[in-house]
Amino acid sequence: MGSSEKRSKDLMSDIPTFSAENLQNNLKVIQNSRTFLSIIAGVLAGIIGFNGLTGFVFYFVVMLITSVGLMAKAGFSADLYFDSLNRVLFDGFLGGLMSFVLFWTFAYDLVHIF
Amino acid sequence: MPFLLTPLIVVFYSNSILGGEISQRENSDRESNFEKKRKRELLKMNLGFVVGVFGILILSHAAYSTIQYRGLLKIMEEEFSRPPMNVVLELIIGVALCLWAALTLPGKFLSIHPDSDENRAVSLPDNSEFMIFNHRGRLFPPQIDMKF
Repeated sequence: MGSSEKRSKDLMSDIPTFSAENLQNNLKVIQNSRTFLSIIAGVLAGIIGFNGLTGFVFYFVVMLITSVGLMAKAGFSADLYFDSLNRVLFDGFLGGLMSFVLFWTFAYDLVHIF
Repeated sequence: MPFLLTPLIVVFYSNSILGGEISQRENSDRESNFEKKRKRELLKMNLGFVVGVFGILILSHAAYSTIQYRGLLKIMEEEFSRPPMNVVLELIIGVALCLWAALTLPGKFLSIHPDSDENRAVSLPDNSEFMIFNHRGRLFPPQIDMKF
């Protein structure tokens, strides 16, 4: 009985426990924010009239701004809401690239070609 | 112009609905912290929605101004290098509003620590009917100090 007590106590302190559904909720929030902001960035790039590589650089700049904004929303302490810092900074970086290019070409056509 | 007022009407209507529910209750001054938090969260999401709609409207107005500016440039036969300064200002305002809405609308961050105040173990799981407590675990002394 004594050894099993010790073993279960060690188990309790070794494995970092966290609420998985809250972590999933936080990841969903990040993904929604990034998707919406990549669409807005696409519309912006189309209106200003970026061509070629400048547009992709603009997309990465907007994603960096999103990372800063998400860190500010999490209060600059990612330990409370996420298990690792890399998640909040680099999670959906390339996921919004397709939406960005879609809305970039859409807005560019709308404003500059028609 | 009326379609600009509909988000405001949505905000006020939802506020009055929430206010009406509370006034009809008998113990209206004893509303729990949980309900207060839900109302505040709903209010913030509505405000974020209105701000986001305004941001998108400002962006589309900036796009329309740029189209007109390009038409003007075609008449004067000049090259398009960048949008005029007032359009750039509108774009900055619209992007700032949309940024705020994108960070507020999707929802709050929830704490993942099991020890924090809002993650208490009181909430019943969905399969509580299937849980039995009459097993041999009742012979072990309790080791986990959970907050109830």
